[in-house]
Amino acid sequence: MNGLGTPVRRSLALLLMAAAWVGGGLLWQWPAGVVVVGPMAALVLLIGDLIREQRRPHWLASVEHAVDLWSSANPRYSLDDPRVPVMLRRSLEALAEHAVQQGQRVQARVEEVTAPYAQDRALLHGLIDAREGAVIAATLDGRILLYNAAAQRLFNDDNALALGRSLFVIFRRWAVSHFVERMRASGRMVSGVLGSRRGVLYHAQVAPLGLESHEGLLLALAPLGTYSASRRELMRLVEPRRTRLANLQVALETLTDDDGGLETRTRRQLLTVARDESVELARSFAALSAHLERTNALPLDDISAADLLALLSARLALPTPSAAPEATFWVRAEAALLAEACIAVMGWLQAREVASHGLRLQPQEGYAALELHWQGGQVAAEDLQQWLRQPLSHDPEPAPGDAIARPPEADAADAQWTPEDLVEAQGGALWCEVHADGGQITILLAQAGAPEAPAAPRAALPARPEYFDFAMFSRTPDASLSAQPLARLALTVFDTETTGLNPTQGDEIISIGAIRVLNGRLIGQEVFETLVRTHRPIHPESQSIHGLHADMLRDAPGQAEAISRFLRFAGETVLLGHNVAFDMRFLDIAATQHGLALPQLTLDTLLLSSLVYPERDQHRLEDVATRLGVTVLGRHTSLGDALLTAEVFCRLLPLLELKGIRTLGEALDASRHSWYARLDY
Amino acid sequence: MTMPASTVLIADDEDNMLVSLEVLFTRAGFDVRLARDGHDAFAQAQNSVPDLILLDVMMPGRDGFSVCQALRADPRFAHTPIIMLTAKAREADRVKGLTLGASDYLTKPFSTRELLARANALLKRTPG
Repeated sequence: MNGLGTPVRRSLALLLMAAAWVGGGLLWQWPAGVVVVGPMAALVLLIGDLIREQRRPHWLASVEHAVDLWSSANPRYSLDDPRVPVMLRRSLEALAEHAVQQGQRVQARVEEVTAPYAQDRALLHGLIDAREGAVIAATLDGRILLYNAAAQRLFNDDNALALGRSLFVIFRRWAVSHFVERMRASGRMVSGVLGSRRGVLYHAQVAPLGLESHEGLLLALAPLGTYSASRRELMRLVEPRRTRLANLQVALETLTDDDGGLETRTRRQLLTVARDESVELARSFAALSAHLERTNALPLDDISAADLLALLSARLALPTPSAAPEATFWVRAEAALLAEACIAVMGWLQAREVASHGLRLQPQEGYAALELHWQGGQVAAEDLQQWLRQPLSHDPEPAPGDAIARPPEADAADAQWTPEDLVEAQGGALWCEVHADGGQITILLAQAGAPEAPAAPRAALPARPEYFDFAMFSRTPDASLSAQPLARLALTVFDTETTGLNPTQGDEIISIGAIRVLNGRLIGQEVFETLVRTHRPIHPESQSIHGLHADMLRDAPGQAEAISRFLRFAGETVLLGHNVAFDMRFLDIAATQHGLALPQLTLDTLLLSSLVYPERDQHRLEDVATRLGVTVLGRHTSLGDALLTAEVFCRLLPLLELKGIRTLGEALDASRHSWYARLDY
Repeated sequence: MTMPASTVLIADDEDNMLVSLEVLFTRAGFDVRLARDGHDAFAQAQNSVPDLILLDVMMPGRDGFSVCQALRADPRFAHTPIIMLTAKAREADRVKGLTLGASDYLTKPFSTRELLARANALLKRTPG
């Protein structure tokens, strides 16, 4: 090709670009990047071939990396190397832009086709998550397929609940098998009591789950504790009082059956017994009713007074009051039910031709007083009082197509609530005041504390220096793990904050954050975060980065507990961090001190990034993230950095594949070489 | 000439409670009148204004809250001490009672000594 002149080279290049555009326009394939960027890569290769014989220009590497990025990780990447000829840069960027548009068209079509499934999925997720009880789906051999937020809360301490892990970490296999056998025998859901390995009893419902690939089970759990604690407390209050009541009854019956034969002294003794026992009974009843008062009949939510007022005003078609309640004024109530009751009340008032009505919400005696006030109309106080004690049988909003009255729902008699019941079940009270020219209904509701405002995000600061641990590379995985594709690995991506930079001089970990990556995907619900107590002073420079100070760590678990909890969370997964050797040095020293065993295998996004961009010398987490098009948010908290690292890793996967790095073994090998290369550098 | 005895109107639908309270207040030197429901209590109070009123909350027909509210709307009862006696022990009910004009709010069961002490304290505070 040495003999080709400049005009020939240019026309060849233009021809290829034209072919690329046409190809991109015609083909509907995914990923669209392949369609356009494939020819683009050919173009680059051709240019490379054309000029190889003369001299390979420095900028060619930039172009090659830009093409890699466009095709796999970040289609919006800007090729900003000024050494690349302007015309070529523009053409390449135009091609990349075309690829983006093509990709968007394909994406839109994919979304259109899959929308119904996405809705079903969202509905299913919503249903499962909305359940107050815990739900876990698993295969019959115990592999966890899905769980909801309640399940996560329940087993949070164990850190045992994780997708792909075994259900038998939480429950003994035979205990679950017992349910499965009964379920198979009956072919439907079975229920009973299931004990966890920790000795907690659950009311369990186990239903068969028909999956395409394998049989599974759906496990619904509620701790027996919460069922029985309230009842146990009641029994504790009631039972001992039987004795008191018996004493009282015997004393009084002896006195009333007396036909004059009792001595005065005996009579007085019996009377004293009766009085003492009744005083004691009165005292125990106070405890009993206090217990009842704490137990609301309805589950309540905390809502800001402003939100509650806005919600009720909207439902009652009233203008939102101009003077909004203070931001710290919060109410504990069942807002939707309250709205129903208010609508019913307003309906009743309007039938009596009130001229105008409105809403107020203000603090009163430690409660929140919601006032519905009106002017005019013919309202009789007694009628209103009576109506407030009658079941809300009249549905103010008939169901669509519901011309005739619906038959009452099953068990409706028990479920009929009066407006007064509704308010009292929320721990409140209800009354009305009627005057000649109007009146008001007051609904007293419990106040709630305003939630604490989230801390303001901190400004970004320079990152820590790079550290390497030579020993890291002497660890080799066994053959089967080594052959595992990176994209199928279960990883625990983590980061730590520390008192300073020198663990050998006593600096310690003060926070650990981690998130799971499974099959190249972030598992958002499997996160770990803890502060760690330390006796070491926090170095001011470190403090200015992470903002943690001694006060915040006072109640945190100590080094041994925090690290062993983290290791339990990590389980058998591979650890991954950015500049992970830094964190591992701290963990190593602490683990040795406290006799803990650390996982042997670690991956480092810093090294992986240097494999993808050997020509770059900026491999700080922000730099790598920005290059890969990952939005940098919430930095310098251990969990925030772990999240960012995890996202970076997921974006690096396709780029590593282009470099021929697909398995864990290959990644570890390449990292080792990259480390030596950096050492040379 | 001795001071005339203070009159107390006691309203409760529980006969057993009325029996004991009548003895208690008579022995404490009160002139006692009894009512067995809310309407009866309101009518008796209208006939002749007592010095003190004890109102049970949960009565058939018209409850104690309602009687208290109606009495307070009448200027003749603006300063009459009204003690609510009730099995409704919740804090919210107490706020309701006091908001509707009760001078004091005692939950059942209560100590008879405490009831008398509160009654006398209220009478001392009443003007006139």
